[in-house]
Amino acid sequence: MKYRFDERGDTLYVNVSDVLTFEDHEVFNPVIQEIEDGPAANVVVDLQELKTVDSAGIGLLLLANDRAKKKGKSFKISNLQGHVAVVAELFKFDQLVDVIN
Amino acid sequence: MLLEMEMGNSLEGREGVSTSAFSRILLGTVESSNKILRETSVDVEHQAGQLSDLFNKLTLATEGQAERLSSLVSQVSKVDHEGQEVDLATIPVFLKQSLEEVSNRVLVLSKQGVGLIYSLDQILKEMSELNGCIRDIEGINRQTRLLSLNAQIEAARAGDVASGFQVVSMEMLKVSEGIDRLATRMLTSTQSVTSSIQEVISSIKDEYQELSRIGALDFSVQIDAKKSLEILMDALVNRNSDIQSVLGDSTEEAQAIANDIRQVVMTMQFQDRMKQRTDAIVDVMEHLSRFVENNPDGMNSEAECNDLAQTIIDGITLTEVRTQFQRTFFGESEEVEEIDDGIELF
Repeated sequence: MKYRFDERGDTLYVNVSDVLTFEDHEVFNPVIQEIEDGPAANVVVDLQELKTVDSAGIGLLLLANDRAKKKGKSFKISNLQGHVAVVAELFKFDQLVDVIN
Repeated sequence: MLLEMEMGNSLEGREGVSTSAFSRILLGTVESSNKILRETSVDVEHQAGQLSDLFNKLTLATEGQAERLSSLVSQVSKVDHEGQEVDLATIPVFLKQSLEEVSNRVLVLSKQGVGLIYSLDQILKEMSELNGCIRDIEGINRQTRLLSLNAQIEAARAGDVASGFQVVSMEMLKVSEGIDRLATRMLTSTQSVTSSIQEVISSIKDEYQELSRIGALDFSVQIDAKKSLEILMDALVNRNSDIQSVLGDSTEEAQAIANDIRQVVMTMQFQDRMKQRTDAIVDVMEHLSRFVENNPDGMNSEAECNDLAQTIIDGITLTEVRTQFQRTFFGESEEVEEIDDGIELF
């Protein structure tokens, strides 16, 4: 998994690419730290370049959502594509997290 | 003559009555016709009655068939489940909801799993920090012991003057040794806790690898199952719809057949009218027959023939037959008085 931050105004954009699985939980930890402790009041995680996700990857995104909400921040997922979109539809992901396209 | 021989018993031998040959032929014709008409009437009534019974049975059977088909149409889309009727169309929805529920639980467990690992990682970091602190304490303690030893050496060199200082340095050494033992115990405990946490993390990773091996993590199993389920359930619902459509058509056809047969049965009731007409004609012929038998000379009397015609007409209860005879006898259609005998209600 790869990621990059782009902070514009009070919104933190997190671009996550490649694959997001259990093996990536250590790499993803700084993302959660930044979402939780960073100054941005709004967080948008862009998954346009994410090819595959497993249950742990979805778990990481839900965990990031929980941590952001605990800090009173808004959290959105954007640009679901391919396999990620199929998984999101299967689990009614839009009922668990705010999803925008 | 054959006619005379056959009619002899019925036309001759009646006292005081003389009939001509033509009259005998006429009477024979009337009597034979009457007999044939009566037998025909009875035969038609009997046969038509049998046909009506058969058609009635056929109507009942067809109506029963239509009812059973109708019942089948209503039942074919439902199944019994724990004493309740469940619509087949709701089963796909139920199964999809169950699949989604299971999958959502997997998501919750995944979130809790990675959350737990993050927490354990954080504890490991703090345990590492704690180990560093204990090592620092040990370092400081070593310096304390050295200072204590140096103090004892210096106190011994100073002699009795520093005897009190020597006691203090000895106590410092004891305290230092106590701290050393405590640090060793703490280090042992932190290493044990760290080892346990690492085992838990390793166990969670092994579990994830096992789940990944059976395809529970990339959702391939759930996605395939969902697709298969949707295809199967769509096919099931479509098939059910087809069956309902066919059964519905069959029900309508059975109803139409029953209606047709009912119409046939109604049409078959012509035998009643036919019998009434036949009976009316037979009555007329009997009037004629009696007239010729009892009063052969009256055939030449205008007045008696008119009386006979009126008697015949008065004796006819079936309106259409009476009208026909009036028209024939008198060349006109008189206002017919309806006779409420209940027979003409077709």
